[in-house]
Amino acid sequence: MSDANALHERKHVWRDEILLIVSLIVFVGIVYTLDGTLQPAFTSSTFY
Amino acid sequence: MTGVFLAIVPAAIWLVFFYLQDRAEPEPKGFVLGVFALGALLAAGVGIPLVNNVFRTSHWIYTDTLTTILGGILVVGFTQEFLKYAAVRYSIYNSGEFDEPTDGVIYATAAGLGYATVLNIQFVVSNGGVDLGAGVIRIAVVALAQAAFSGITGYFLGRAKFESEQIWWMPLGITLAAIFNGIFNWLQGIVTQPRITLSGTTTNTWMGLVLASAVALATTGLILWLVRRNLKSMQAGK
Repeated sequence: MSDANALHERKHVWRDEILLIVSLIVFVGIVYTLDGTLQPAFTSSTFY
Repeated sequence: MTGVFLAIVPAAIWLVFFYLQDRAEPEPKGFVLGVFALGALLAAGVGIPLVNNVFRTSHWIYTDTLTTILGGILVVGFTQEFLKYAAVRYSIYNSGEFDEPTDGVIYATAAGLGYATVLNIQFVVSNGGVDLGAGVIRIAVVALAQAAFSGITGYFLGRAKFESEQIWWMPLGITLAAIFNGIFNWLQGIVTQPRITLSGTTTNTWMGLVLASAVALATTGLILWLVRRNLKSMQAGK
């Protein structure tokens, strides 16, 4: 390993983490809204 | 199938972002997916059987507050954090592809999301499916929490590889991640506790998501600050 690599930082790592958090909140919001609006009727086999 | 599909979504989201942004100096996609799979396999083959069948935590962990916190840290926390650490340490860590301190965070997050995916699938399967609204919140909470705690271990792994740290360095990292894990689970139990109202019993699952998001944001911010501070001090010392 080189010193240059040891001092390097992959900046996208932090963006990925923030995007994951924001996306999961949006994802939960979408699923929650769709569930409330459409009220799908799952059978045990479709949901399992 | 819907429940299992929902359980996979958080990891899929992270992997898509990762692959879209990791262009300048890309990590080999096979290695990231491999560590993700290893985290998932360790959860399915070791972590979940150990916690559920050997320690049988569901029988005693919610006895009282102290037991919940100590059991959450010493049994659940240490098992999960050690296995996620092992998924990175005994695979990619010794490879030339682990060539920057932040790679520790990347690979540990992949292992954590693999672990979270199996935890979520196991939750859906063992409950014979879940309520869509509450289920998707739980899936997001587990993914956010596991990714955040893995980030702590990843930071310690990154420094352990590129700096000559003391022998206690990695045990300290795993211990801190296990403590965060145990305390988070205890706090989550409190904020989502069912409340009896005039209209019946209500569970506040949204508070769990708020807590997990806050913990994930705070942990990411803390690790970012620690990595940058460490890089500055290394550059100053060159």
